[in-house]
Amino acid sequence: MPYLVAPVMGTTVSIDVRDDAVPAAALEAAAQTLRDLEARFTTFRDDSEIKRIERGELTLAEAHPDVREVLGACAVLRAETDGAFDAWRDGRLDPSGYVKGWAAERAADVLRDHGATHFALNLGGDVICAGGTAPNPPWRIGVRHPADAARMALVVGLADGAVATSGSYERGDHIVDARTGRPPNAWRSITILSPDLATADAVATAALAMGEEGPAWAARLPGCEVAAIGDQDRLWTTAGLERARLS
Amino acid sequence: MRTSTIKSIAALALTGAGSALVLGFKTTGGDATLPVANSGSATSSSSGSASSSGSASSSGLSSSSTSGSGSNSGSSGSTTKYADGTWMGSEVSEPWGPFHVEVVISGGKITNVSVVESPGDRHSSRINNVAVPLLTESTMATQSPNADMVSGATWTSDSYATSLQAALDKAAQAS
Repeated sequence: MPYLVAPVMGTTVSIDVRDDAVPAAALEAAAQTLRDLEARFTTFRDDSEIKRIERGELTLAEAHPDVREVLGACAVLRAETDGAFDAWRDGRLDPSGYVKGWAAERAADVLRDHGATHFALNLGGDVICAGGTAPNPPWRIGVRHPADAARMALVVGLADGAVATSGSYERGDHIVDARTGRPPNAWRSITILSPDLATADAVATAALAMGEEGPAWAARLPGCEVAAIGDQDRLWTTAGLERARLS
Repeated sequence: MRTSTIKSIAALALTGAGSALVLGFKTTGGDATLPVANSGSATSSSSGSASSSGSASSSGLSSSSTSGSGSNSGSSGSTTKYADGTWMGSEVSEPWGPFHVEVVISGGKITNVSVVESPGDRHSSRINNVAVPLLTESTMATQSPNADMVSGATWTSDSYATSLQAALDKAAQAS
């Protein structure tokens, strides 16, 4: 039952595969996929496709299919969130709010290609889990308390799916409402359960950026369950999330 | 850009060198079939990182296991279900060099957190002796319930916590 922890994308990935037959090389291949995607989507190199698109030197049609897919999804999300989520801001292109979850799904596909059916992958606090169905126990996914990194606010049990949390505590309020240019402060963190991590991550980011109405907006999206935590431990959850809660 | 030194730690474990460092992932207690860091070719040579192992144990902050009460929503004061043992976090890099966080779990509680494999220069010694004990105290002041993975817990600006998270992930799922 191989386990791997590696630094990638400015954060840490941990991969826990419970299938006996899956070799450790499968986990390394998944980690390598993340490194490759990190290089493709970096905004830290002037010659990256993202920077070239930003400067108008590369059209979407000319870009790598991965880049087209991600930027297309970002455009859809921008429309769905009425602009609260926007990969473009102040003339800068930064799709990283979508890329992390999307890349993690790619890495999970690599694990599946190697025969993994029972695994969890945590990329910087965004989690994908699979195979937590009988006779296996559900995966227990903790949600960090926004005010205390060493504590969990709640724990959900999940068989298959994704959990993403966006918090105003992370990366120094890097999430801003694209409409106001300011960090939202209605909620300290928003957690989304969804079948797909790219969606969960983007919706969590967008819902946090939307402010007070963010959780209710996210709850209306198909397949999304929501937990929002505010100041003074104010908690807002959907019924589906409550059903998944272990503590 | 260096990849995880987990590989080099595994290599050390195989060669038997630097046994103090071989804390690998679990060194005491419990069953042996635990998630072991593993990244393919463990036979790779022990890269540069084997250097100083001086496990800069943090000062006398033994356990102060007050569970964070007065909490919120679901985070009852439930006790931790971490597996006993010594758990190594992932490698993180700081301007003064790479290090790991090592967590000691005893009776299901975090009883000590220390930094290992820090470079032995004077600057990092200062960091270890002052900054880490302070961080350690705040870590042990609260205990988390049992989970396989934690969502929302990532601190790119706080590499100590990043390494700690990895160590606690392992301790939690081994329970």
